Amino acid sequence: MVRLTRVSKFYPGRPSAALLDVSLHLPPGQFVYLTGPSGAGKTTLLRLLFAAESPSRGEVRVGGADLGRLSSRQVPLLRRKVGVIFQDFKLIERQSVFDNVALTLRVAGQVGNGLAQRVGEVLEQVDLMDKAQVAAGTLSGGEQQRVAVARALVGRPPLLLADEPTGNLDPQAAMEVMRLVVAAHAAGATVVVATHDPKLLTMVKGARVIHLEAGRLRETT
Amino acid sequence: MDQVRLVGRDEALARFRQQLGPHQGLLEGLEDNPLPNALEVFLVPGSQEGPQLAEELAKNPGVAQVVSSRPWLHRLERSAATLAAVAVALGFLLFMGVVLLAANTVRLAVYARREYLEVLDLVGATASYVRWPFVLEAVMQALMAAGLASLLVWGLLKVLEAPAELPLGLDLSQLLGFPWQVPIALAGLAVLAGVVGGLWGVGRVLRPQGAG
Repeated sequence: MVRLTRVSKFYPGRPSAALLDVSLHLPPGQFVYLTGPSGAGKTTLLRLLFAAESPSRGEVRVGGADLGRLSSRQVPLLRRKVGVIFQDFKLIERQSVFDNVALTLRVAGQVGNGLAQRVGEVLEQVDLMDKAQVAAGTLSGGEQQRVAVARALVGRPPLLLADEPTGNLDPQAAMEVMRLVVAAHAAGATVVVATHDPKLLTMVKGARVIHLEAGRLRETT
Repeated sequence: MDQVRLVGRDEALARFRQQLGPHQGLLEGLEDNPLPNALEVFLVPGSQEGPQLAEELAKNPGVAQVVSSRPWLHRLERSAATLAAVAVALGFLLFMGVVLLAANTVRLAVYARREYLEVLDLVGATASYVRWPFVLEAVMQALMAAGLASLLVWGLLKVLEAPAELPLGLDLSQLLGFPWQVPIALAGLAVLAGVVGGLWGVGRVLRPQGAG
């Protein structure tokens, strides 16, 4: 599903590499924790996987596609196959929960009953059906993150990326969100969760843990 | 030649009287009609044979004088050409101004909605899905501006042609025309300015920012 070959990433004005000579292979269906302190390169690695960044050196492949060779027209098509969850939710706060979730399908050209039915299914799954018409910005942090999870899952992406998904949540809301991420994995998605919360690492038995430190990769399990 | 018309002495005097308008009292003291019979010769539009024809007509023993409006028309044509060139230059500058204005307006709109655009980019919206609403907005505003401008020009011309006849029988309404093509041309230029400015203003799509 994901293959990184000797990937390095440098940012202008930053003396050290954000990622240095990272090679990694994630087979389909794997659950991976990406750990490390702030600034270790976790977010950079995730951003490489949905083509928000391009590597300075090396090759990034997702679903067989070499992201370094994608044209600007192909990038949106890749992103429809990758669900992304952020620590700060990235919702459109003035729009309803339904519209936030439906956006993923609308940009892919889906309309009508099929869209409403699929959005309804996912809102049931994240237990937010009763708040479908509520503006997303008025929800609690835990609820907003569940909307973000629903938006990431509604297109049934084979790859789900989560960047500190519980960083802004209380423990109960964090468990709720992780339960949904684990359910997505159980449904067949390859999942990569970046976190520095050790409590999350115990949630999925047999999950792979990859540690990043100063841009270098160190596999722990 | 396109047409030849005989203008008799009496008709010529009546025409002169009308052209003098409120000053026709000047003719009160005339005992006789001093104006001669005349032939008005109209050339086919675009014909270049005027000077040659005038020369030949002047040789005719029954012709006392040949009066040509050609030099006057030439001066008018030259003035009109200069005015048209100035108008085109001004129009081009205005068009560029409208494009810049549309681009800046769209850029501000993009900036105001950057979080929304960031989310669109994240979920896989194509560049055209993101761009066209802004471009359409620019086009709609440009069309409304074109409509308003046409209305203003039409109203201005109506005011200018209010005194229907000027001294010497000049009719201003014949000089100040507002053909139906003008609003259509304005609308077309406005749409072009909206599309160019809109596409230019949207620029590249914003990219989502990570935590670090």
